[in-house]
Amino acid sequence: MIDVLERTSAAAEQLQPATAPDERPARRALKAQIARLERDLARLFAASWPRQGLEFHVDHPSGRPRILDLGELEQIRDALAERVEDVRRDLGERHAGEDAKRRLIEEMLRHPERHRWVRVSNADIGEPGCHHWHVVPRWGFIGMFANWWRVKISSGCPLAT
Amino acid sequence: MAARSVRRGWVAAELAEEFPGLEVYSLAVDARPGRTPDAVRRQMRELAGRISGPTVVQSRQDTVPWSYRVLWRRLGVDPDTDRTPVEALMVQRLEHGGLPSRGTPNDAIVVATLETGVPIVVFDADKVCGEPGLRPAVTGESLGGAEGVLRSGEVVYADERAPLARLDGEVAADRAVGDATTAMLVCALAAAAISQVEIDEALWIAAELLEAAGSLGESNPGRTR
Repeated sequence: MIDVLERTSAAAEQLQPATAPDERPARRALKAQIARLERDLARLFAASWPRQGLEFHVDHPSGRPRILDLGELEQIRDALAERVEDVRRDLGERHAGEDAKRRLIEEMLRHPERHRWVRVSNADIGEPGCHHWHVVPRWGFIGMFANWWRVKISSGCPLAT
Repeated sequence: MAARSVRRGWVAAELAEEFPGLEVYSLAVDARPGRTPDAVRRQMRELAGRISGPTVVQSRQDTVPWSYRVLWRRLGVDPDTDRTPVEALMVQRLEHGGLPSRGTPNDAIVVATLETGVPIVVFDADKVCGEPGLRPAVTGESLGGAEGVLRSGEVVYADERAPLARLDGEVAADRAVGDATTAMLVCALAAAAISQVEIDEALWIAAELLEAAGSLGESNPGRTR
């Protein structure tokens, strides 16, 4: 029995690779993926402007510049992929909300009396600037009682004080 | 002055294999540090006027800033925490509302980096031993003092003798341009996807500004640094 075990152990030793595995193809692939994901993130970053509140930070520790091992490259690739996916989803949700607000503006302009006091800003539709559309009564109280409503479009940002 | 040419530096074998396209180029300039000429100050004001929030956002998609962001990532540096030189300058411009003049060589670095996106560092040419290059630091090395101790494996600019600067532009105190400097060595870091034209443009912009300020410094030694 002892003889058999010893032989098995020797056979296992023979199966060990004589050389270290070549990591270079894997490293090249990971670095190419990092470059592509960084490009995707840059495009999303530009496409998201001027929206606020989207998180673009990629969660990996920042250290001194060095040659990373395979595991570290994988971590960065995974973190980038996760961030790109999150931003893409969040931006998609924002777009859906903004489309709804745009339709609301059209509806407000068509039938202001159905959207009393509703206010939509440029930020709600993902545009820069301080414009807003506000449904208000024509001639104040008279309009309120007579059901005369209109959409007031602001002229822009308030002056800096 | 002798005819100058852009010289290609060396890159350690392990870095060259790991990062194809990673290079360092240098250009020697006979110039002294000094006050930035008024024309260059005007150029800096115009440059600052061109940099706004939307341009900074859009610039991230451009090939040159993107290439350095990718390089930073591949080197394990988060470019949103430790920004690439061009992004750091753009953010600085947005935060301060302008590009304050700090004399040369700082202003030359600012203009060349912002105009091209290529990171530039400047050394005292007489204190650099041989060609500058890139290599990983070894244990115990520092940037000219105990405060600048480098981590083993950190990629740095170096000459034949010792590390010269970090990739983010922090120069060793004993290699930096000082009052006694009479010649400077302008170095540009190249990453993959950066063309030779962009590297040359960055180096020549910096060299011309340094020369302009250097000649002014000879007749008017007043300094703003």
